[in-house]
Amino acid sequence: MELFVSLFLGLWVTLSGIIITIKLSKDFKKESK
Amino acid sequence: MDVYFLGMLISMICYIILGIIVGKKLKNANDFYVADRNAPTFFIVGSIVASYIGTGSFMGDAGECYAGFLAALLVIVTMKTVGPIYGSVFFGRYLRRSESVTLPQFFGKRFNSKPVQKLSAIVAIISMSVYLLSVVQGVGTLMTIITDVPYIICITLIVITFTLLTILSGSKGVLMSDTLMFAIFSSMSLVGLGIIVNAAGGWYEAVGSLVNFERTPGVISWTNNLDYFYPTGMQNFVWAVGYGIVWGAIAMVAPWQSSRYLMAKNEHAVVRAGSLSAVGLFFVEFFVIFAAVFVNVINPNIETPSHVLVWAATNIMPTVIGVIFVTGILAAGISSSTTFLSLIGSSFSVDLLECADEKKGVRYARLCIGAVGLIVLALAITNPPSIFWIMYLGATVLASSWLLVAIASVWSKRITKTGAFWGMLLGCLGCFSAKLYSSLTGTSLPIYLDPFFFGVTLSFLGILIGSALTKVTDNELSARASLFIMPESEINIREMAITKKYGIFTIFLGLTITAALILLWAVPVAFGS
Repeated sequence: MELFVSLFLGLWVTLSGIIITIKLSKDFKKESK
Repeated sequence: MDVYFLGMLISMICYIILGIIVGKKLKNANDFYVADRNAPTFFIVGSIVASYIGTGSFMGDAGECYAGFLAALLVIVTMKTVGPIYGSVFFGRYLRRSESVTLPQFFGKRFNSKPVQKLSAIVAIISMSVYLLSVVQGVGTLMTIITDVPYIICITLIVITFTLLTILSGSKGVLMSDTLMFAIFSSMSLVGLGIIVNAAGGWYEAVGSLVNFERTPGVISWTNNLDYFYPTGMQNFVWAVGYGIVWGAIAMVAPWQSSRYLMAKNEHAVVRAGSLSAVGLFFVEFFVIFAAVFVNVINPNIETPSHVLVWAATNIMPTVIGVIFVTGILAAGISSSTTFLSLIGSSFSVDLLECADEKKGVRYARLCIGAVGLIVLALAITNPPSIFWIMYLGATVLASSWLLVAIASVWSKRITKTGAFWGMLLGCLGCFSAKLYSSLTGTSLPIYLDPFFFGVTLSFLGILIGSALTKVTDNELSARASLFIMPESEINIREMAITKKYGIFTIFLGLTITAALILLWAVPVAFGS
């Protein structure tokens, strides 16, 4: 169960990185035009 | 004179001297309120982490872990890490574009509404004062138990230090002192953990000793100690996930966090600071909670769990390191206090008095800071010290009130000033009344009826009904539209490319945290059992 909790927590933070990377890429593409 | 007291006294004198030096260089009101909007990434990171981490972490959280609640704290600490990551990208940079001085002023501009501005200022001032009081009590308790100097003297010295520092130097001094204090307490948390792990016989040996720890069963397992809070591991896990979301929300929109973005020199500094603050928030607390749980291996009989790291500093660490370590805890408490106090002063002058004259405004802010310092001193002396639950009360009321309105202020086209007002008011009253009911009746509420979630639900209903009954005005539409126009000065292809890399860096942070938790917690626990 510790392994599941570790994976859940790690993915929680990883997901935030993925979301802001997509968001920043979209925004900067639009804003630099 | 006691060497620990001497160390803390010298550090407090240094902070006041820093305040005097920075105060002499203040140019105008903008410098006092928002550090001239010119702070580099590093100062924003230092201030975000230092404002968030206080004695609650070094004493409250550490005590919980020593007593058997490590896994729950691990969940909360990791989950809340995303607060500044989302906060900077989805709220902070839009907040900075508004060129407001305070968050309530931002709400006032966005909804073209004085009542919304004043209500948010009142909620912020009250909740930050409560939070400030709990931090002050924590630092006072720390100083008293280490030095044996009477509580009244300790608390007076502490309040004088952070009040003077804030009055003299405003936000500029607070940013600089926060960053200095962040450097002290984060480095000492790592050094402290190293010394405690060494004394406990090594990382894997310490975890192995705690897997079948008879005195506190479950102290290092995912279930936690089942005699501590909820009787099953799953209930403890669900509670911790709930509070991970709560503290993540606080790290995202609370004024002592998001107001830092108003001081950044540009939007790129905002986004970069969000990612780097996540690193600081996670690792400092990770070091603190593991250091606390490992003390069980060395001494399982500490009577007051919240004193665990103080005991370690004075009994395990070499004296010099111990002195710097407790100075670091003191710094964590003072840095949070200066941020709260400067925000209270700014909100009082800018949002409640609405001073048009800059000089008068700064003078009233300074008077307010002095008055709140005195009130907090009086309350801290008359109230018994209590850290953990009081701390949750102040911050959760604010998060319940602001969270949905803050997000909707940027991302909703339909929210109106009436919806924002009722969302804030009901969120605040809902959280406060649920907490009051729970405390007065001694009822233990299930996680889905936790004061924060109850308040957020009422806030949602307030926004929904208030916005449904009124129409969005042209002023509100144009105020929102202006948030989505990136200033010309920010459009720099090279800077954008660097900032995008911080998003990728955050993905690596997530993977690093996964690896750290598996290798340093899950695997040794599995092999130790």
